[in-house]
Amino acid sequence: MHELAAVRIVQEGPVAVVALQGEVDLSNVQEVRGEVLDAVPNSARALILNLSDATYLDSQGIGMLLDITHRLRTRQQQLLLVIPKHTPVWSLLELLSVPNAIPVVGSTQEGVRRLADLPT
Amino acid sequence: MAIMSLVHLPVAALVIERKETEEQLRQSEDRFRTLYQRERGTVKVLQRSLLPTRLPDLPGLSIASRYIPAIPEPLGGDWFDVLPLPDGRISLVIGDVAGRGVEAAAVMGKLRNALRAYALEGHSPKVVMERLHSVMAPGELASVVLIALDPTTWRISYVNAGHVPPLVLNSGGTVQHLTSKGPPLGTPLQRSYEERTARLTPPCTLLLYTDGLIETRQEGILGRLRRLEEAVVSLPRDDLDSFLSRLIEEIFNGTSPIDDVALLAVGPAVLDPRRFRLELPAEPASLATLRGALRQWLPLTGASEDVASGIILAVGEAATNAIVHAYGPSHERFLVEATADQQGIHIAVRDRGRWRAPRGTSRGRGCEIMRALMDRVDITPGADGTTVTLYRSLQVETPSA
Repeated sequence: MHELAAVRIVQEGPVAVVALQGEVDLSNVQEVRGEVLDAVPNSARALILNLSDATYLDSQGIGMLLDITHRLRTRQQQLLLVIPKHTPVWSLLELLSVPNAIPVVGSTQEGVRRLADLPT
Repeated sequence: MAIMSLVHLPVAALVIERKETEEQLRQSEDRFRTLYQRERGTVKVLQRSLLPTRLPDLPGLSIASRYIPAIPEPLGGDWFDVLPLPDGRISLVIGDVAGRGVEAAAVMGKLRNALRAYALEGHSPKVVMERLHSVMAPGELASVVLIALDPTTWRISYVNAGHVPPLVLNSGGTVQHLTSKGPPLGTPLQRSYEERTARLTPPCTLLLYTDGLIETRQEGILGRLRRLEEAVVSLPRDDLDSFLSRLIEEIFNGTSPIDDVALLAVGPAVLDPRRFRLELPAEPASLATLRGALRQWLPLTGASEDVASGIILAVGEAATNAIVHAYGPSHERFLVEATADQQGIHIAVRDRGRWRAPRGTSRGRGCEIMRALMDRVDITPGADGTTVTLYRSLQVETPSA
């Protein structure tokens, strides 16, 4: 079996940092969703999902991001996306107004700072 | 009485007997020569009828092959084969049956056909090899390499049963040996074979060969192998047919092979920048294959990186719909056809299913993505399937709205 995408836990703790690398489409979207959600323990306050190395996302991937936000929200957990500006994935998210629903930052550090400013 | 005559006519009788013996010897020698020549002819005929007369014409691939019989006589056990598999992959085969003459050629014929049958049933290279092992009769021995190649992603799965490792000639000038352990078919007590996978990076060339290529009386096999590596690196590979001709020249340098030689070279075909066509099974795994093929083709059309990634995304959405709405458990396929000129790129994605009413929001999002990225999107439901046509201009970088 080949792996289109990899989900890597970068940092554990109250702010979980997870990197999603590779391509997400209909063939692996369920699996990736499960792996990302599994990486966030109940004790975590927020998830920073780094998409800097996500090379392909389509409507399935966007649906997954919105679904993850929704699920985390019901657990009162925050989601932040890390996406460098002007990449294809960033353009797609802009196009679909995703940043209105999920905060997008340019780097993990920026995400950590942003979360520190937010009331817990 | 006989004794008497011998006593009386000893010299004459002996002379006559010797003449008869000589005559008999001559006759049997002639008979032997005729039989031998007939067998040699039979080996040639068998071999010719068992090797593919024409390699299949496969989109995206360029293939060349050679069979050089040994001098003074062909041994008869070498073969190669190329066959498209039901899952869209291509099976590449090379093999060498131990022994010589009609028997070796006959075993080769048996193996070639059994391999085709098992491969066409859709078994993995590992399973095909293990079943092939079970059709070997006691005393029969053969080395075989079987590669299943995905011509768009260039992912390969391969199994080696005691054969010289195929070579991958990379565009950077490096040579990679596709090594994998496994004894020859027919080895007693052998039960299972290991299947390995690799992802090749086109433009590269796969070279499968039999050991006749590196076998000489004068030179050790390692020296020959080094010569082979040096030769394949230095030769141009834009035309695989002349690549093989020059390789043979370089290796044999006017001498004749002492063993039969079979060669099979496979590389990516030169794509037509004006035309694209790909038919794939209506299953999620096809999406990555489609993206891989478009990533190779789109740069040739003059589409910028941005335009290309937009087209890949839009076609991906259309293909996702085709897959989601394909009816029946399997065997459904969808077709992606595209033409390009200086004005722009037309793409049609056809399936045989009927789109159901949108369920959930992701379908609506897919259409939104297509409309935002393309200059024109038409979705045409028909009695026998749905066609999505997309158009993207290459003239001006139209801002996506």
